[in-house]
Order: sequence, then structure tokens, then C-alpha cells
Amino acid sequence: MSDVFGSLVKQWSLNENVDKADWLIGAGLFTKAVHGVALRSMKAPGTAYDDPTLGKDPQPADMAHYVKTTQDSGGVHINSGIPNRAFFLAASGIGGFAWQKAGLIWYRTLVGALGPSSGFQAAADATTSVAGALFGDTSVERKAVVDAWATVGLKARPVSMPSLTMAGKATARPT
Amino acid sequence: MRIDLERTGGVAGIRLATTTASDSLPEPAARELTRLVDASGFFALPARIDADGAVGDRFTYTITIDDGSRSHTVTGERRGRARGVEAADWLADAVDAARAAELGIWNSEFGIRRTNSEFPIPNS
Repeated sequence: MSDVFGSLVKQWSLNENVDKADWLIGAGLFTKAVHGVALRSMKAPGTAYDDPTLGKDPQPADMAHYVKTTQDSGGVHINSGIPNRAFFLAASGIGGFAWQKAGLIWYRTLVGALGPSSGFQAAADATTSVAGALFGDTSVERKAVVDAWATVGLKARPVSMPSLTMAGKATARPT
Repeated sequence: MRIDLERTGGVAGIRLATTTASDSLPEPAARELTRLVDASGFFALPARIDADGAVGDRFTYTITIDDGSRSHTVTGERRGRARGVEAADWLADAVDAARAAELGIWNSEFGIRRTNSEFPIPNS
């Protein structure tokens, strides 16, 4: 979630659409001594670095490669590759500027439908439910969210939600 | 004595790991390392030392020490607790041992390693 909103801020500030954005977290942090472009890649988890000292970016891109570990507080910065990629896929499926629709779905989900101990399945279910409530159950936006989670190995089980309005929606970048 | 030290997690999620063996150290350093490990009570620590509450961005440390006759691994957080017993100092003690042994303590998240000359073994 932090990576999602961090990337959205970057995309908004650079006025980048989903195709132009680099979807990297921490790009430019490494010195030339490190073989890598960033800490994490939302678009291609596991490819951000491959370095003799740091090792290879350990992030999985789907549930089939979920890392069960006691390290990293249970792999929270490792397995985040899975929901990160789901967001990239959803935003790409919707198209345009990621903060306008995909970002809104994730934001509404974060503030209204998830708790501190929610897991990936809950995130898939809730983002799908919120997308349906915001854009309609037959909308391309909701379908993009469902397809995104399916690609990373999670079948969304949406629950019925009261209709949400687009009030306070993210608008185009002020010029 | 052999010590493996691994740090994972943090916001960056970068894994740092290093290993040292006391027989590769100068004799005074090896002696100091043994003293610090003994003082830390490392072999009596539980295998897991979890923190109160979930703070996903904290570092997780795993330290394995093999003194030739026994091997023990502890995974946990710096301010972890174990079975209600305060174990806040376990890591500081172990890291002190690691420093003294020039295990390689990192001065940033991003791959800059302190050299021996930057981290002299304290005189005791």
C-alpha cells in the first residue's frame, strides 16, 4: 500500500500515465557500486536488483511464489511484490493516469475496507467490491481489478457494498 | 567460533548478511568476541524474540553462533520480548560482539560497508 501511494505521488508529480511511469520504488537510491535500478519494481517484482553483495531482488510476482519466512517481519517487504503488481495490472487495465481511478479504488479500500491485519485475499476482495461500488459491477474498472488479482493468483470474492460516489475523486493534474 | 549475522526488513527491505569465524581474527579480537558472546547469554535465548505489536517496517535480525560444541540461532527484533521476559538487550549485545569481531556492520541501507579501519576493535 505504501508503495502504491508513493508511486502515485511520483506519477502525479511527473504527470505520467500508466504507460510512461517506471513503477519503481526507490529508483536512484543505489550508488554505482550496486547492480540494480531500485529497491522494488511494481511492474516486474524480483527484477529491481541483482547484486553480488545484496543478492537478487527477492520479490515474488504472484501467489505461486509467495515467500513464507520469519525474516522481514514475515516477508512484508518481500511478498509486497504480489499486491504491488496487482495494482500495476489494475491501473494498466484501466489506462490513463493511475491516480484517477485505480488509485481512488485503492485509497477507498485502504481507508474504509481494510484493517491492520488484513491479508492479500481481503485486499483482492475489498478492492473488487470498492471498484464495483464506485464504477458499477459490470464496469471495465471492476473487471480490470478482478483480472489483475487473478493474474497474481488470487480469485476475488467481492462482497456487496453500498454504492460509493466519486465525490472527492482524484482529478486531472492542475496545470 | 563462527557467527552468522543477517538483517532483513526495514522500509528498503534489503537483506544484509555477513559471517565471521574467530579463527580468522587476530587473537585479541577472537578473545574479545568470545567474552562478548559469553556476556550476552546468547545460548540461553529463545529461538524467537518477537516485538510487542506488529511494526512491519522494523528490521528483523537472525544471528547464529556456533562455538564448536553447540550452535544456536535467534531471530527477532531489537526491542523484542520473549515469554514475557524483557530481552531488549539481546541484539545490542550480539551486535556489539559482531562489531568487535569486525563482522561487517553497514553504515547505510545501500551497500556501503564499513572497513576495519573505520570500526576499530575497542581496547578493553
